[in-house]
Amino acid sequence: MRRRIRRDGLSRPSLPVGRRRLKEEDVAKYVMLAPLLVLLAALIAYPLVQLFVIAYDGGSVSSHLGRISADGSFWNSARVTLLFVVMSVALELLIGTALAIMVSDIRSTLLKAILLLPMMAAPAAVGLIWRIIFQPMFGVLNTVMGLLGLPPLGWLADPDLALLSVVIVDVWQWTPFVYLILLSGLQSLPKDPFEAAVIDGASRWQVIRHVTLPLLRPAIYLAVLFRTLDAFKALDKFVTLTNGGPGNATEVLSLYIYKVSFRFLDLGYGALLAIAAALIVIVFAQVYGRAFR
Amino acid sequence: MRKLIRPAILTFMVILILFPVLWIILTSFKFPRDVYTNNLLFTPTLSNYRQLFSGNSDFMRNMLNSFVVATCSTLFGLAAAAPAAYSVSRFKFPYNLGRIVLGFLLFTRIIFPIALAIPFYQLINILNVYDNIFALMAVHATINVPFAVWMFKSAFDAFPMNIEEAAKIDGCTVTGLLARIVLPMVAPTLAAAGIFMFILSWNDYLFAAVISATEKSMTMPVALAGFVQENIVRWGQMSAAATVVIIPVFIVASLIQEQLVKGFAMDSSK
Repeated sequence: MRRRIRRDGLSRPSLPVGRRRLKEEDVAKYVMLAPLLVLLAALIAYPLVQLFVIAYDGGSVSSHLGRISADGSFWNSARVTLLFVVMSVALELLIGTALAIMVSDIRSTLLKAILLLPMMAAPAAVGLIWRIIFQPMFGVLNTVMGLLGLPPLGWLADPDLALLSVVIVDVWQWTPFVYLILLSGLQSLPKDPFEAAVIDGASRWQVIRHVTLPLLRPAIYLAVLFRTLDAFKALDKFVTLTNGGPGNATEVLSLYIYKVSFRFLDLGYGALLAIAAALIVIVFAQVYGRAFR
Repeated sequence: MRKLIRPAILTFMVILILFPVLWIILTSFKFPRDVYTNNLLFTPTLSNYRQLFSGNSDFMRNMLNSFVVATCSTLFGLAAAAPAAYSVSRFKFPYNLGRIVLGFLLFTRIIFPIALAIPFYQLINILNVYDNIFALMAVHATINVPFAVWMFKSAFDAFPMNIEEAAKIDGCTVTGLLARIVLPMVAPTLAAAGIFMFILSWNDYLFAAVISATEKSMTMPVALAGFVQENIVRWGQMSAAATVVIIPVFIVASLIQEQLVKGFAMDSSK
């Protein structure tokens, strides 16, 4: 084959041309990559290094550790964050998986478009929307509950209920994300195991339990991983919904670090807390990864 | 009976999703007295919108800032992302540089935005670009570029190489190849990545809040947060402002939903 083409003399570029092209490619590939590298180096890598410098300038290691261990607000925010992440991701996974399995053969684009809406809305705006709905005096949620004969609740104003209320908002915004990931996971699964299970006389529930869920494991892992990382970082929603209140019942890590850094302008301590928060996420991710394996 | 369960659940879900959005739109057309009752029958008014965009309100300026920042940061971001993704997708680099860059982009998803906001704040004060929309543009372009690179990379990976090979044999240069053959073929990705970056920038609160101080550079999400910090909350105007922020995004997102889903998952489809 190759020999015949050569004899035709069609695809045999002369040597100098080939060499010039090679050189040009070698330069071009770096030129194309350069703008991205400059952005990443200047506005991500350098600031990350700077974060450690700022934290270091804020005080010695031992004084830092003493300050963190004595900082009740920090540990409170770590506890609130973990509660928030676990509750919202668990609910999103539960509802998202159930929905994806229930409606896996529906490919309505209208449904998908509607599901996309909460994910696309600015979290700060989502916070405002739900603040109006949760309003204890005239909010529509308490009105609806009154019509159903239920007592009105304080929602965001009630310290025991405030975090759960924010979880509801997060579930509203992000369950569609879990649903969409799992739906695309479901649609890419092989058909044979399902047919085999049905031939063996498995009930619908048995198929879901022993075939669908195990096969869906990688998709579930990814959906939970992405949701967990993003839930840890959540900030905007908390600013417009509760601003951490009542008291510090909903003061998550991001919000506490934000307040320390930009309200009290203690950048050194804020930087230190940001590093500590990153460590918490890494530990959590490790535990999660182990549990999944 | 069983046949009814599924449509019932679906309908219930759609109502749950749409109700809060419809409610805020309704509220934005209410006089204050109607906000405090939950009557579905009320006299609609445009007064909230009129006040929001009146001369002594900064909201018009916030909206313009949001639009300019989102547009420019998207253009910068695309200009950096598309060539880089092509380069990483097509060429081999020494020391696995390509894979290191892609890995670093994934790593950026783990970083707390607040951990970047703190050094940004210092950097911005040193460079004396506080309260400057150009600083915000650069930050948004960088923060949102990882999504775009991953979207482009998977599009380039899926694109067959033989057309490019043919063009190369005909003597086409690499940059010429990108501009004349490859980019037109990945135009849908270009649009999706662009819209995706635009929405991320349009929605951002944290970086905008850290960089902007006055109406000169303040964007809409920061202005939204300002509403709840007032002593007497203007519910009607607040609803109108939230509506203005979310409705354009909804319209655009509905048009290109398939690609946006992929973008949200970044590389999770692999």
